[in-house]
Amino acid sequence: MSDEINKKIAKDFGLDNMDSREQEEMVEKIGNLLFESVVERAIDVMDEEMIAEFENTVSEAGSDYQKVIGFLKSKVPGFNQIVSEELSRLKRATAGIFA
Amino acid sequence: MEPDLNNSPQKTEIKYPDGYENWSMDDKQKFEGSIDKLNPGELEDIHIKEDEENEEDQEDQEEHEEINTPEIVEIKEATDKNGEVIKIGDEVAWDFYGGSDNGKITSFVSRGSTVLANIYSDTEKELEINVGNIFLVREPEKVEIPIAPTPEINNEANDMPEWQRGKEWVEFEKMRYKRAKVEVEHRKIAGFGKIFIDEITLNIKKNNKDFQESSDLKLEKEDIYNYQKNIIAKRIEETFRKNAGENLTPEQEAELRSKINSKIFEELVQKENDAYLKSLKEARGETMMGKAIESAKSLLGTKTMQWYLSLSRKQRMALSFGVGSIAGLAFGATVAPGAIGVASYLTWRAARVGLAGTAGMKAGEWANKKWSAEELEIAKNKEVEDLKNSVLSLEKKSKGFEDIEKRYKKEKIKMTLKKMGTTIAAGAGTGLLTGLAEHAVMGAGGVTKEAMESRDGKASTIQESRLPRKGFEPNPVKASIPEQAPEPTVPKVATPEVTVLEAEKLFEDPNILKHEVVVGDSTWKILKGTLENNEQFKGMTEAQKTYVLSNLTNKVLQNPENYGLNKAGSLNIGDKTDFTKLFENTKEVNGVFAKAKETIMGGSAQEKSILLNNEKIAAWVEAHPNESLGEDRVTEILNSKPEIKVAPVPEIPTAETSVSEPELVPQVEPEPKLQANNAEILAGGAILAGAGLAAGLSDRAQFERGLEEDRKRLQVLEGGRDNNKPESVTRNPNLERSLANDLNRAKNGSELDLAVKAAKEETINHFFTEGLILKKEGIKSKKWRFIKDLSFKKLEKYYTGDSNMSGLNLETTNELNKSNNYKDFFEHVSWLKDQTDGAVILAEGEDPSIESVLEERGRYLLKNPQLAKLKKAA
Repeated sequence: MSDEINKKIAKDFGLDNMDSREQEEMVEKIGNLLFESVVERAIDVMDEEMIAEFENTVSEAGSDYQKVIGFLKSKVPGFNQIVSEELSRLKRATAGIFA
Repeated sequence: MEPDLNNSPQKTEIKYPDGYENWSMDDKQKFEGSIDKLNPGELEDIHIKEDEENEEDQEDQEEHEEINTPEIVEIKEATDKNGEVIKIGDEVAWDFYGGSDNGKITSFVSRGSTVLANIYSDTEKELEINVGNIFLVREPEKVEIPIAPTPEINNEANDMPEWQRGKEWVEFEKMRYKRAKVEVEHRKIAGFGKIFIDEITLNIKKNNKDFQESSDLKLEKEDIYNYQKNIIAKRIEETFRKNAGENLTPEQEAELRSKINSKIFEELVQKENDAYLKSLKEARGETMMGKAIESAKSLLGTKTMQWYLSLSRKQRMALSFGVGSIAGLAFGATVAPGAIGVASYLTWRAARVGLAGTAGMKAGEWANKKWSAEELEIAKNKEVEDLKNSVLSLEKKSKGFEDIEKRYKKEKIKMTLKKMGTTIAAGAGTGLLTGLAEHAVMGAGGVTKEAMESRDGKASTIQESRLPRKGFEPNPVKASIPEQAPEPTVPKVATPEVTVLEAEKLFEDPNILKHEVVVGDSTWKILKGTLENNEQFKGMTEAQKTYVLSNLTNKVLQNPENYGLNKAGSLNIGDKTDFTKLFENTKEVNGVFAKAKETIMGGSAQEKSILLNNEKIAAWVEAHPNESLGEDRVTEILNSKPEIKVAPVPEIPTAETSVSEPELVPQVEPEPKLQANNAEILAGGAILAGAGLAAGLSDRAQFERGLEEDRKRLQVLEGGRDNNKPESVTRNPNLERSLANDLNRAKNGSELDLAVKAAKEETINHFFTEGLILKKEGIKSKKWRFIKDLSFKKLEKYYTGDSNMSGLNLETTNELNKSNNYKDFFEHVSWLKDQTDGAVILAEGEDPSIESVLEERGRYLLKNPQLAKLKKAA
């Protein structure tokens, strides 16, 4: 990730005061939470057929994570909205609490 | 150290939140329920004891991020919140959101922060379950209520973190859970995955009391929750600082801050997220979805997280926040809370220029922005989301939501008008065509019938289309999409000085302007009947008439009561209409006539467009005689693209599969050698009454139809003629035989074909069925659809010869490389050849699809079950 994006992430999640190593660790944790909640939300809108397709995609993705992203973006209705909402939620969760 | 709830009293008094007595009954019930759901022994916080070796392994993985090594750590021991050790072999019951089961823990595995327990169940399934979903069976009576310890307990629990001591923490935990429930409740009402309806602009939901209450609750409680959260964060920091002492070096200070933040994240962010996810999953159980789907979703979530955690750290980061990541475009679209602490909503909005891209637009930019419906919706949602995240007061947020609602509503109207203008430029407006649609319905007698069949026998109301009140000004020059929404001009309302006498100029007999509504009438129809008495109108083309009628119908609908229609623009049987006023201003009406003639020339794009739309609507009405035709439907019909007709592709266009006679099986009635092309092979198949079945007929009725078709074919072959085809095409001497024999064979053949079909499907399902959680039959899979038409010979060359010379294109080979299923399936079909003792071979020049080969070999083997090899294989 570029420094610019790192800075933006750090700023948006209220990690400005942390040093870069700490920021990096924190962003990783947030990324994990983001992915999990986005996936849960995405799965919620899936019908039977899409569940099977998604499972198949995950099974075959290996390290090709773009496959999974591609699936979610193209198949899950309102996916961008879900991501946006989950990002917002996590930003709210981290806002103004760190030392 | 975590609180030891075993030392807590058997019964702990529930501390209800402030203002609890004022909550609605529903909220109270939900709150009580939320306490009940926190079962004793729930493994919310697992303490992992990893051995040093594993830690080292993890470090190694960090150093080799590029290598896709799953960060899987075996856990030797885990303890629950009560401090009890959970051991391998312990019996547990797990809740999989829709049911429960029993099993024994066989191992613990950690992938990152997720701890999974492998459980071997009574149903002989090895399952990996997130321990957050496991509930221990044993000793559930130990703790009655799983709330955090009361202050009294805290005094005894000296090892409890300081920030967890005192009632604030207890209150905070309750609030956190309650808040998560409310947030999920919102999403559920708004529709999972759909747009999260904003909390304030709930006009459309105002009758939904629960939703309103929970919305208000959320907003009011949010500030309190955040306040509490900040207090706890401060307490965590104080605790760590107190223990760290004073006069720290910069390095020590940095380390301390890192520890503080890590703990704050764990206590406040991670746990808040856990509560949210838990609520999200619980909400699934409350929906109408089937239990199987519910369980499948739960397991799929776990499986996806397992996959995610198997990625390297770098990959995970790239996935979440990198270029093209899930956050992707969404990232940065929302403003961080607290980023703009401004005094008013308008200031806040102005300050967002450049942040969200739309909300801060200057008036001119906003007005000139060319929105699409999707853009408009996205922009609105972003604004709403950003406003929700802002630190503005509730009152200011309310005003802000109102402002957003108004602005976007206005923009939507403008966009709709623009669309109309577009259609107008192309020859017809939506309103125009709604009138036309109505006309089509009237013409088809649909409404007449409905009116006649009204249950109570009273006069029925005839629905008039209530579409745009604007008139239609075709643009004869520019048929493209206008950049700015044109304001279609409305024919001016009749002016007072115009006298009734002027109407007489348009019609010889002014009485024809008056009409009593009868069954089947519509404004369109009445106007048309009236205008046919005008020589100018009478001489117009259909498209020109359509234009005029549309224009006038819409004018009528602007002020329906002026013409004897009811306020809603509807007509009732027996109503007396009077269109005198409509034609009072002859100058205006003549202007409409002139415009129609001027712009809708014979052969012009406008004419074609109108006629095409006429056809579209007429076709739709014909195809949907029992469906209503509203404005949305008309828009949909008119916006539908013409269907691209593709010449039907024969199932086996070129393959010529020869089936040679099996010499070793004399007891089997020999098949005639088929030398015809594939079309004829299919016909031959049809003789056996199986072509239809082989092609996928799914029910008995279809089967019967197929058989009937076969009988006809047999008649042709028997010597009769298919009147539709020349003899040279329909007669095939190789296929001729007696009718009686063929009918008999048809019967046997149909049975064989059924068997072939079943065997074929079973084979395909074996190789291509997808999904372990929710199975998707192979026959319906994308992989099967991909491979079934591929040339068997090319596949053979690809898999067994020089793959570069196979003749398969790059796209195909790329797909084949993606999965071993393809290869396995090919090998199976190849293997079948051996089972036939070489009786079914591909002759030179033949190039059948792999599906054909499978079918032919399968058919042969089913007809010759005595073949030893097949038996052996079976």
